[in-house]
Amino acid sequence: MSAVLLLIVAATVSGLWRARRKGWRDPAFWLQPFAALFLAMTLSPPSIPIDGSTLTVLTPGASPEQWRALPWFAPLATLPGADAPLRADTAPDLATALRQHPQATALRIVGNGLPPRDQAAVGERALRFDASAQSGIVALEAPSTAKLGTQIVISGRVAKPGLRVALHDPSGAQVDVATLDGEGGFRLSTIARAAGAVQFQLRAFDAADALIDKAAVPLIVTAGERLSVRYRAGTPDADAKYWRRWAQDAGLMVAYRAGLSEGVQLSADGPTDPSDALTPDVLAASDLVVIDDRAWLQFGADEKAALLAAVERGLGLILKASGPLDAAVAADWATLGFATTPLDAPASLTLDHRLAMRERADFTAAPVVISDAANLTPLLRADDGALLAAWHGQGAGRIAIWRLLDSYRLVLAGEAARYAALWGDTLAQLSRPLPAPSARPQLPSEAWMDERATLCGLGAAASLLSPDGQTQPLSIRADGCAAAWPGESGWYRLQTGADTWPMFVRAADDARGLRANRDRVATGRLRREPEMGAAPVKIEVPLPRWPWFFAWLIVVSLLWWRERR
Amino acid sequence: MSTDPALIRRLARLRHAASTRAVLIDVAAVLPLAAGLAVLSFSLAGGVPACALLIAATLALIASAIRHARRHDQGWLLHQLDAVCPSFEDSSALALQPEVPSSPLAALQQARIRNRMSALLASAAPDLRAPWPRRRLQGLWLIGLALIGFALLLPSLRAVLPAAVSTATAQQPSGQGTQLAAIRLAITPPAYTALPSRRIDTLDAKLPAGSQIEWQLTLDRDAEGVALSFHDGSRLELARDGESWRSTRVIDAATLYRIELRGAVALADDRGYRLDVIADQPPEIVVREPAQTLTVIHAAQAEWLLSFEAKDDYGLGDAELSLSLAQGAGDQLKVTEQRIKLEGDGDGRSRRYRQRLDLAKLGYAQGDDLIVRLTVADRREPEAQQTVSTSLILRWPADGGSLSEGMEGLVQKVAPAYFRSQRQIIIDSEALLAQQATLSPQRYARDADALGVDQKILRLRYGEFLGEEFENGAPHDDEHQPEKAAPDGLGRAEDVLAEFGHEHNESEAATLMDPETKRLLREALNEMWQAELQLRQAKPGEALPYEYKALTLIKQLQQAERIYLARSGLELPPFDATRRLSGERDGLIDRSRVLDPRSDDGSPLPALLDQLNGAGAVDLAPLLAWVKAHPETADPLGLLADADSLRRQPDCASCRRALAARLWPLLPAPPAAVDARRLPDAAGQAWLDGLSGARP
Repeated sequence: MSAVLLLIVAATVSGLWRARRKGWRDPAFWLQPFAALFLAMTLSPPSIPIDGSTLTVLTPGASPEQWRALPWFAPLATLPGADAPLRADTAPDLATALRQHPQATALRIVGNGLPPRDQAAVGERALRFDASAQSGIVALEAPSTAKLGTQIVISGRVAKPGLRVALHDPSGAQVDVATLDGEGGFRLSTIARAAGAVQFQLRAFDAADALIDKAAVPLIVTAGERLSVRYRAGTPDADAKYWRRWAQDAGLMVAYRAGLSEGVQLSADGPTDPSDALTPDVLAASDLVVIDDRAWLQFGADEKAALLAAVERGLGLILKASGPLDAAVAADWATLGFATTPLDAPASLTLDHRLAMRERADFTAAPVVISDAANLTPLLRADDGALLAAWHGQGAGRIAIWRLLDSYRLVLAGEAARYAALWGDTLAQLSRPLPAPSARPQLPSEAWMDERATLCGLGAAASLLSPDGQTQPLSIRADGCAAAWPGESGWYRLQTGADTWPMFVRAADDARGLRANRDRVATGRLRREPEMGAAPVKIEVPLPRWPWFFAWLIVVSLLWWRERR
Repeated sequence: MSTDPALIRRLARLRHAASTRAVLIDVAAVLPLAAGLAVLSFSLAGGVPACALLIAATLALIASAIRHARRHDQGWLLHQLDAVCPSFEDSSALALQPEVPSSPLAALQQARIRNRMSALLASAAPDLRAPWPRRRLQGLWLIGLALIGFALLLPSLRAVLPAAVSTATAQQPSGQGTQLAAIRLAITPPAYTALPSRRIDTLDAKLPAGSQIEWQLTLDRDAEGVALSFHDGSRLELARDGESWRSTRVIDAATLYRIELRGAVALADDRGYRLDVIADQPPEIVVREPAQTLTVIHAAQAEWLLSFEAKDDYGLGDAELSLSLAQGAGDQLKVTEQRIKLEGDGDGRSRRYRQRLDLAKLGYAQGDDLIVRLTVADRREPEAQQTVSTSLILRWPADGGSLSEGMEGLVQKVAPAYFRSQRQIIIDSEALLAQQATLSPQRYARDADALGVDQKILRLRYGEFLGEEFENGAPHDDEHQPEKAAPDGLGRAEDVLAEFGHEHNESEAATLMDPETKRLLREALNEMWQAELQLRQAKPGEALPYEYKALTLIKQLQQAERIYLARSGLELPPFDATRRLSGERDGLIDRSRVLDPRSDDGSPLPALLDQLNGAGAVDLAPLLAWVKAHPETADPLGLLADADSLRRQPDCASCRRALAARLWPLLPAPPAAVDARRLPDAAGQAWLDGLSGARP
């Protein structure tokens, strides 16, 4: 470099010597040293001392306003996907950027935050995070699995310019739409029509009806359990009629018995067990027993004892109040943990909030008030807060009281799905606990294409089957975890032995708002104040070359122009 | 003496002419080549290279023109003049020098040559232009024309060439499918649509219903036969026509078809092609005037102005206005119909019809309703579609029917009562009897007479059930029936009457009832007749017993009717009256009945979706049957096309996904399934045990 500088000096001196006869006044004479100076600066720009302890890193989502506000002479690096000024050093990841700036003891992150890939590279460094504004769908709460035919409720939040969210089914048809509330929240629902791994899609629009973000909603729909239920009613009623219809359609085995008159009963026992009494054997084979107050009255002491013993061993029991409770029944139920006070008349109430009803629907509850004891877990509350159903654990089983009389009105109003959801939820909380399915591998809840996905709980051998049918064996570490780098979006299948587990991988441009929010939250957790009294690290930073080059170009152009004239 | 300006001008003209000629020669030489190459590259590679070629040629010509202008300068001119005209004695340069040379000899020579030059150029200017290179140009033009000709013939040559090549390649079995060398579909919409025929070069098409399609396909190899196989199972054999295969068919409904080859490898792009049909819409009618369907006539209205607008997608046909004049009220309603053909103004697709109805001419009077409908047909063939407008009613309310001017047509003081019931007549008769003291005898007689009229109307109405003649008040069955032999059974009365040729009864009405009902009805009518007699004589008190009797008989009639209807349906179980209210419970058993299983519609789609989500083979036959059985499906062709492409490529993952997505909205709503509570794992169980106080 010094040789080049010497050469420039020599050339300048000789040029001045040759031009000396033109005189000092001539611009052609005195412009030459400037040209030489600027050329030298372009070739080896001067350095200035700056504080290099903080490295500013631009991440995707950093807005031009944010990076224009950054100090001019400070170490600046940019990660892939970020829109950045020319002076920033491009780095493929944070670790590379830190190797390029080894003096940095603190980081300033601008934009959506560090992706998971870079979060470990931060290490012990102090970190300041200037998050960019949120955009798109920033929160999404959707079940990952659902039972066939049940209502799927998808809620979430869309950042500011959003106005409307629409849910599209796997065929692309719009099935539900909602306008965002004040905080940008939304709540959409649809029905799982078929078993298997399906993919809904959520689309958010702004006021101009332009698509601002979309997010796939993966869902694994499974068939239901075949629970065995015994229903004892004092008299046939409409609620039981619709309940039996639903239960049979849902695949439950229902043994129903309703009294018609003294000694005469309407029984519809399931094909498996036509026996009469609730013997311990019968109860052991059942998952749930529903009894109303009039049927309870006809129970013998031994039957009650058998019932309670079965509950201790895991049976679910629902006590239905169908009207004003007989004193004996009320006393019995109070010993079971349900203290009640009678009312004059059946209560009228609404369940719009609990059932997410679009239209108001009126229901009736039995004239009994359930005392809100501490050990009771509320199961169903009316919109005014009145307790309609509650349960408490008894041994391995659960006992619930239920005073809603006409949930069947939902079916009559064409809301069979909500009816099913109401009772499905109830049964799922109260029925006999079944053995948990074999341990499933821990799959990432959100995986994006071209991002590292970590799968844990794998056995000895596992492979990943891509949506296009390519099998990719996983190399599993000793702790049973493996990493994958999905190159396609859609449903992958993890195969461990004979089992297959679906895993959804989002496309690179899918759920951008969710991904940005995930990075934002994770980076926010990495925040760390710089240590007090940390000495600033002085580093020499060369000034940019291009201003010198332009100055040189202008001077040389002037010289050339003088020459030509 | 300076140079003559006229001379300078003439020389400049000579120079200019020479350089122009040189440029023209260049243009003439380049033009055919450039044009030929441009056309050829256009037919081979499209417009962009052709334009680039033309632009390059133009730029080259401009460059050569500049070069020529530079070359033909003063020096060149002088050199040429000296060469062409020996009389200038190689001194033209001297002659054109502006200043007089110093040497007298030179000056003399300059003057001489100048004179000669002026004379020569004025009389016979030498032609300095380069001669046309005729032979060379001819050759170039021939080459250019040959290029253009080749380019124009290329498409037809292409069709010929592969055929020539295919005979060579036919022997070697190639794994690649047959390609369509040329596709041409000529779509001729039905004549009535007046749409132009068009030609397209794709196999998918969207066309008006009833269009005729002519396929003209050219394959890149020889085949024994080509047929189109439609999704409804029909086939269309294409006929060979030179190198291409062609045939025609009229398409009435959307369809999916495939091209099947005989004697050749199947097509490389062997998918189903769609023909979507744009259905002819029936005409649309908009009523412009009157604004509402029910118009109440206002005073001094002599005519009624009607105005309609009609639109059709292809063209409107005849329009007809139907007028129904309903006169009278209640049973006296008389309806006369009339039809008027309308000629609207406007073009074929949208027309405006206006009609002024002269109410007096129609015989429209107070209490009448005039109901008007416009029927517009389109020009569809073979049968036109018709649309009928809403009925427009012009009402002239009967006298006293309306309350006031402002409430016309909205409130009627009296509801139209057609006739009083027998019970009402009894009530009115009793009321009249009670009022007897307060009413004047005339008024009493008149009211009783009015009741008598009501009784008559009711009697006539019931008489109709018996098939009596309406005009004649008295039933006179007695005159004829007793003399005849009694009919043997039901339905024989008709024969008897026909035999004796005096039929008062309407045969249909009369034979609907069994003899017992007829008897009751006849008795009721007789009672009514008697009641009317008494009422007409202003004796409601004496009429009352007859009225009551008539009412009883009518009730019996109605009940008889009910039992008769019920008897055909329900089989009531035998009723054991001895056990009634006895408290006897022996022998009663519990009814045991399991709910009917869910009425599953047997849709094969969930199973199919299951197969599609899996990795195994997919059986598509149930889907095809299902689509056939459900023609109301939104896009059956798309479904079939996706199924078809999956059938052809069973291991195509994207085809599976596409078909699965299409199935989703067609799935039957499944019953909601139930999840069960799960046993806690070991840690959870320990926690629960800890909570309940048990020590592990």
